[in-house]
Amino acid sequence: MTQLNDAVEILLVEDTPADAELTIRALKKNCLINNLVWVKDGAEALDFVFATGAYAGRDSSHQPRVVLLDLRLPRISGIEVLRRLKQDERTQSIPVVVLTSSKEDVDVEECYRLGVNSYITKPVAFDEFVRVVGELGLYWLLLNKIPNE
Amino acid sequence: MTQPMSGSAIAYPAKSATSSVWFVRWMMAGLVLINLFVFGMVTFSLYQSYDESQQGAELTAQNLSSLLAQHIAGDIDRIDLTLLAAADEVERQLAGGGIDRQALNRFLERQQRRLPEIFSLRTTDAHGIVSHGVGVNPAARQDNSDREYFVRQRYDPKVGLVIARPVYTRLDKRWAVPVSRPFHLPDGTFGGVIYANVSVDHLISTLAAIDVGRRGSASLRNAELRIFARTPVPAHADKVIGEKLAVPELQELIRSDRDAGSYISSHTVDGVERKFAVRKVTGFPLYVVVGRATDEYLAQWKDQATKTALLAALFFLATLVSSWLIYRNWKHQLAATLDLAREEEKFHTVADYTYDWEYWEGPAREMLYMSPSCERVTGYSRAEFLAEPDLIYRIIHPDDQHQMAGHRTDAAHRDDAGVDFRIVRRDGEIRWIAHGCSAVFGRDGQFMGRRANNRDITERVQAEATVRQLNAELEQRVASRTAQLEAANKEIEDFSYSISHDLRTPLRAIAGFAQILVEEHAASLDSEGRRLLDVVHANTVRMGRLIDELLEFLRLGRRPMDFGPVDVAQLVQEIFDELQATVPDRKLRLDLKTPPPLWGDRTMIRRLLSNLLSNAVKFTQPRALAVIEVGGRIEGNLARYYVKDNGVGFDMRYVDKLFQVFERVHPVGQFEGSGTGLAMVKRIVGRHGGSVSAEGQVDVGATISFTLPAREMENDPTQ
Repeated sequence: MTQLNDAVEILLVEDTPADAELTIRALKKNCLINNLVWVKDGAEALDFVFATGAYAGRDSSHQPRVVLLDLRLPRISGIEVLRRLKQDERTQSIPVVVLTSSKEDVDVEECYRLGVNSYITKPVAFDEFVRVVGELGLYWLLLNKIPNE
Repeated sequence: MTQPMSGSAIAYPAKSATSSVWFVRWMMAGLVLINLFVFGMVTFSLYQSYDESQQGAELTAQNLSSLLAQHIAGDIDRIDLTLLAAADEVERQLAGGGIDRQALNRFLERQQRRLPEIFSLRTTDAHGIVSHGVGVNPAARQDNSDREYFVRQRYDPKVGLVIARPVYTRLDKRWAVPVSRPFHLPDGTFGGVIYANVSVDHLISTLAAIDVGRRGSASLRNAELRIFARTPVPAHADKVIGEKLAVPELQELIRSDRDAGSYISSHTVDGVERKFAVRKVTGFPLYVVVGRATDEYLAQWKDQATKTALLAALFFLATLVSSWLIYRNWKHQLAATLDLAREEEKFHTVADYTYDWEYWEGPAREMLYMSPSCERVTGYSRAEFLAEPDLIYRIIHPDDQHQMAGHRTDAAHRDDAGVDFRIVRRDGEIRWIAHGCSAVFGRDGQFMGRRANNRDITERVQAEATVRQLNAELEQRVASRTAQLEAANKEIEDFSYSISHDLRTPLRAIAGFAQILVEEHAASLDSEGRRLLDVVHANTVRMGRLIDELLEFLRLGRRPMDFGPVDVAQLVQEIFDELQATVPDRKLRLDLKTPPPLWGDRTMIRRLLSNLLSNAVKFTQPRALAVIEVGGRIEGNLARYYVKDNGVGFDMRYVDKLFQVFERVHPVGQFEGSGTGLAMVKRIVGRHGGSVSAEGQVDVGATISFTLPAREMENDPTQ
């Protein structure tokens, strides 16, 4: 789907293939599917961002313009990924949008405490989902400029 | 409880009665004795002076009678000498040849003049014819032969001097006592009598010359006791002079042939009682009787006796009065003593019967008082504490000695102080004591030690310990329960999390892919296929909402409450307006019956009212005009609210299902809803400590009521 060496614009961290496909479709519908990388768990996400493990050879100077992060992930949870990203100077400026099914207050509070940029509850209805994803994509990919660019 | 001191002085009244009787008896005896003594002395002295008065009177009377007797004897001696001289002269003249009448008369006259006692000196012849003397007329031939003096001289030649009884003289017409001597003719025959008339008046004046007192008397009598003269002169002298008037005592005295004597008699001529002294005139058959009036010579004694008796009576009165005063004073003192004793008894009783262990420690740490209850508390007797002032400190538990030391330092600077400590009883048992003490000050403000109260608080301390232990256990249990609850809550949280995440994800996939199918493969589907996909889509949406509502319902149980005042009327109006906006084509009427404000979590209450009102709106859908009535009132400590509608109502048989999660009383599809609305209402009311109830009738309407505690709002409006 995407080449690793291309400038990655969206990093999708999602373990559920159905959700991942729906997200990608929603992005597509909003014409925002440029250089998307889909990783299936927190560990892989961190490897990708910090160019470690399977992504050891990746040029870490090219970071995604937005990370779409699910919270319920195998191995390393979404919360942990968020914490590591926001604690590291190199990655703390990458916008992170949490996309989750959970409406739990604890998650929201924890995410904002850790410095999340947006928190989106994925609606069940697909057209609603498409609308929400479109809105956030427009904001983070088109309007919001990352400081180091 | 131990019996306080035996031998307490409860017997005061009996003792006082006895002592009172004894005191009165002794005082009466003393009174009688002293008065008897005084009366004895007075009587004795009066008797003595009476005796002296009697003796004195007798002595005076004797002396006076003796004096008179001598005087009268002298007079009669002189008269006798004159008679003898005259007899000698007559006999000389007779012997010389006959009597020279004139010479004899001159002789007699001379002689008569020498004797003032007599008023005549005369002679009679042998026949009793008065012959010579002053004032004698021989021719008159005055015959005196019947006179006693003549008769006795004529017929008793040896008689000598005759003192005859008084007569009233014929010649001189005066009372006289004729004193006579005979003379003889030269042949020795009886020649006649020479007699001298002694004037009774003179005799009376002789008697009167001595002082026998105003009511005294003196008399001269002959051996026959005929009265010759008497002073004072009796009123009827004629009937007295010459008469034998004599009291038996005098007669007895004369009969016994004594020269002197005395007696007392009241049977006198004038009836006056006198003491008499009798004296024989020496050489003559005459007696002088001198009487001293008893009342006269006893007057002084009587006066003295009266005064003495008065003094004695005064003395008696004085002793009586002073006895009474002493008795009264003694009685008062006794009463005062008894009062004092009773007061002391009272205070002793109060002190001795105190349940707590009381004592009074003097300024020098000496034990002044200790209540008998000390034995109950400590096992040591009062006597032991009084004997050893340090015992009270010695029995303090070694671990608490410092407490008492601290208290003693503390108490030195304060009037009132207290401390709790343990003591070791005589039997070794440990008791808790609450000690409190106050400084005692006398009337002048001087320090008099400390008055202390020791209360056995062992039971209380033990009870407190038990309570503390129970509290600790309770806290432990609460903590463990809380932990369990927290664990349970955590489980619910996890469960909710799972639901929200794990159920929603596949649901989203179903909904999403169904949508994609419709959008991207519509061409390969017929109309039935598209309808079926719409059904799938509708159900995924419905299930999503069910999950959301269930999650919200679960969240209600965990959310912390934020209490505050809630204006129910205003809130209802707001919600109603919002609801009306969602169904602009329906006719709704809100009938707001001024429900009172309540105390609760505003967000939850809003949710509660919103659910009830939206239910009302929902179930009145078939009505042309929906009427929703909201009201409430305070009922005691409860606030009751209700929401009533004129909707389709419900069958009361299913009222139990009304408030259960996902339970519906209407078929799915008839009315929109998941079945969590009233369950949430019940949950919210429950969390506020209230209760819900419902009433309904099919096709008439439903009323949902709930009560909340009103008290909290009144008691703690700031919360």
